[in-house]
Amino acid sequence: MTNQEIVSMRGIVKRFQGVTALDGVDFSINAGEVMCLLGENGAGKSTLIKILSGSYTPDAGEIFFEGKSVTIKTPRIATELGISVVHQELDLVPDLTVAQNLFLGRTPSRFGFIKSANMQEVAEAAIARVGGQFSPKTKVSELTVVQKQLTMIARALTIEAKLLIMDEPSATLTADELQQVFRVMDEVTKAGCAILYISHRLDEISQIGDRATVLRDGKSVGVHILANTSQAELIEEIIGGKRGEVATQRSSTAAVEDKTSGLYIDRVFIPGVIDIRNVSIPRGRITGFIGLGGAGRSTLLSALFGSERALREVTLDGQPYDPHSPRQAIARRVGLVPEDRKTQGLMVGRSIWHNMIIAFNKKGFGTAKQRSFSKPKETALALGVRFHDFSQLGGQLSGGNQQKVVLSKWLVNESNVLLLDEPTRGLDVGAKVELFNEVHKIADSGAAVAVTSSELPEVMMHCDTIYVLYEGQVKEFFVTQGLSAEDILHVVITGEVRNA
Amino acid sequence: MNNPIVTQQPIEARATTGLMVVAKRYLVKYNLLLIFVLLCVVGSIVSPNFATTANITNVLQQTSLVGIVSIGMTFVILTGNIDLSVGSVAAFAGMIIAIFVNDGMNLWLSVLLGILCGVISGAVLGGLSAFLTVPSFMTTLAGLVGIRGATYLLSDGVPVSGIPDVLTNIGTGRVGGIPDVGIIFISIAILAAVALRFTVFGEHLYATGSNEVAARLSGVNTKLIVASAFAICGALAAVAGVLLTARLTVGQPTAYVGLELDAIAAVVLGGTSLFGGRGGVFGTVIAVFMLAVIRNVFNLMGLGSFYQMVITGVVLIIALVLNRIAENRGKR
Repeated sequence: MTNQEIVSMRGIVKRFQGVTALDGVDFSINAGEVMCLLGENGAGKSTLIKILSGSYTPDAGEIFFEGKSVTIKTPRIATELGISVVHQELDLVPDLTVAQNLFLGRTPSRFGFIKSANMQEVAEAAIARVGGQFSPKTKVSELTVVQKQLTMIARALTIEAKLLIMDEPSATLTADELQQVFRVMDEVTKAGCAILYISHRLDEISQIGDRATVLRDGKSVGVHILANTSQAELIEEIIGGKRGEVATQRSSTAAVEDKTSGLYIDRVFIPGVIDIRNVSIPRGRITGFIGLGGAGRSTLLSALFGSERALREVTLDGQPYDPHSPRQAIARRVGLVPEDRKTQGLMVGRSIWHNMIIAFNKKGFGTAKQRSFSKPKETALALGVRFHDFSQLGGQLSGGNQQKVVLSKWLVNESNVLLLDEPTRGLDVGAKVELFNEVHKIADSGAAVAVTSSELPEVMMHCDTIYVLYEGQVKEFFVTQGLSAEDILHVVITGEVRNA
Repeated sequence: MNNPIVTQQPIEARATTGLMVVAKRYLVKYNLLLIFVLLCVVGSIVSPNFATTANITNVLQQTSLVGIVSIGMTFVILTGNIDLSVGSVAAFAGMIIAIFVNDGMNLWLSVLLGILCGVISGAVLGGLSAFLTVPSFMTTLAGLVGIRGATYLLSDGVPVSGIPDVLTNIGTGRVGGIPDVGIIFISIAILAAVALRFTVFGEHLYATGSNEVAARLSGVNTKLIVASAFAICGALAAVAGVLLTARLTVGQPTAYVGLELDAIAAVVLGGTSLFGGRGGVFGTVIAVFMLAVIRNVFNLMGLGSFYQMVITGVVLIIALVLNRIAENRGKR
């Protein structure tokens, strides 16, 4: 690792209509290192990236690129300096080929004609460097997510980027694909390029990162060498201790095999998709489901909620339970918080109030408003949803508050079986802790709670019992207490059960 | 946690207490009403006949039938769908009651059957779209062509007369100077507004239009809601068809060609989003009157219908642009 400074920012200030997004941020990154940028949603991470990539210009402060003072007024200037961004929403043109995308905006040409042969050659070399196994002639729309990310990185390589910014690349990748991206990142840094890596997942940050800069409320509060810093210390600094204790491991060890409490699954079967047997989601407990993408976690919850057709041999509190539609499930006081908040959970264009009562008023012609007016307010208060007006639109809230609104829809409905499908996806560390604190309270009040997650530490911290799914089947069952992550991870990835 | 409802954007929250800001917010919300009032002021300046009782009731008489159809269309567009069949359905209903009555059927029974035809065609076309997930644009386009054809077949393409006076009186009569059809229009508008604002059905209709998946996962029977919206739209189209037959005193197979475009224009001009979930009857009613007043002012000024068409197009664009500007301001 060389210690030459690529970019250094001093005293960066950025305001939006009176709101200070960045308040004197200092930041620097060296050649050949992976610098992680940590902070909650709204801490100023994306503003900082946008300043580096030329989308915003700062109101105050200085930026030095390789020791020289620069102003990055447009994205084009950023590209010319050698700053390249892999966005979360991969901005590639889907109908063009990989090669065409690699050279987008600077297509090699002579007299206006494209030099096609040259393009293919350079593109092929760039793809080979990132370990991609696809032809540069492939259309981008036919690529997988990870291949698209590799294409973006290859694009950075072809412009000989000195700083590569990666904005939450892991959000859409499976564990295997992420490892592939990590290997490429190693290659890139060895060549002397610096990488600025943004992610909410602390475990992968400790794996890939060299140093981390923590932002909080628009200020840079610390720079850490990751090898010497524990995750707990990082969390503490990210949330700034303002939300109290991180929830501790659950301690309930009551009998698990009580078939008359909560949901008991004899069998849930969808041909070719899932075949789940003997799963118990009892009251008063949080039951976790973990597995790789496609292992059937979401499908199981959808089947239990009646939104997916399945053969169901299930009992709810000892009574047969076989919902053919969400409505029938809701009538039995079962609620689902779906995987994708914005497209399945929240009505972004409707007010908070309307979002909360939508599941409640199932019957009757009477005015919904009068029948249930105080309830949404009480629920919002109890959950600590932060907003200034009930008529605020759902889409105007932050991610954590949106998820709380979706959750409170079921509390308003007095649901006592809650199916939470990846409830913390896309939430920042503080919001995750807050959300799970509420889930703990709900479980403690006697509800049966099922949670899926792709983040093992989260499941281990918050669930009483864990089922590991692999290719649509239950592979293993754990009681969380005293368990090590390796025990579970082995089953998750391989589907093999180790002899205890 | 002593006060969990914390203001997220303190600056904005403080600003909303200012009187000017409140005024501005209402201006943004009711900008269409303002444009309408301005238009009326201009109308009374350019034409001394504009603000007379005779003229106003005349406008109401002319605009009520399109207004009734536009209210039905509002329901459909709020679910994020579109109904192109309303013109044909209206003509069909108006024709079939003329034929029933001529065959000696009880007048009110035939009116009821005519409206039932509208309900059935709406439910079938909307239901096809909702349950088979084909675009409503296509199913109702099929309805537009097919039902118009059926209307011609019913009468061999010629008007059918012989409508009893009881019905024609409703089409042209007045109560206390107000046209009967105007009273019917306003009553339907109020009923529709109440249904959308205060009933569970209305709540579910908005939810379906706003996010169909989220609504379904919240227990809303979204397909049934969409089919119902189409049934209501078909019913109101049929009502307009019956009222037109009453006014013309004949069942007219060529009636209401292009009605669907007038209705859609009024609904969208009234601020209802074509993507569903936002808008309402109030805006539609104002927009219907606005379009009618424009036409009326031009008539009073003695300008021909060619001018009217051009200017209506221009006004539509201006109003939509103003609406969008106001909306964007309102978001900030």
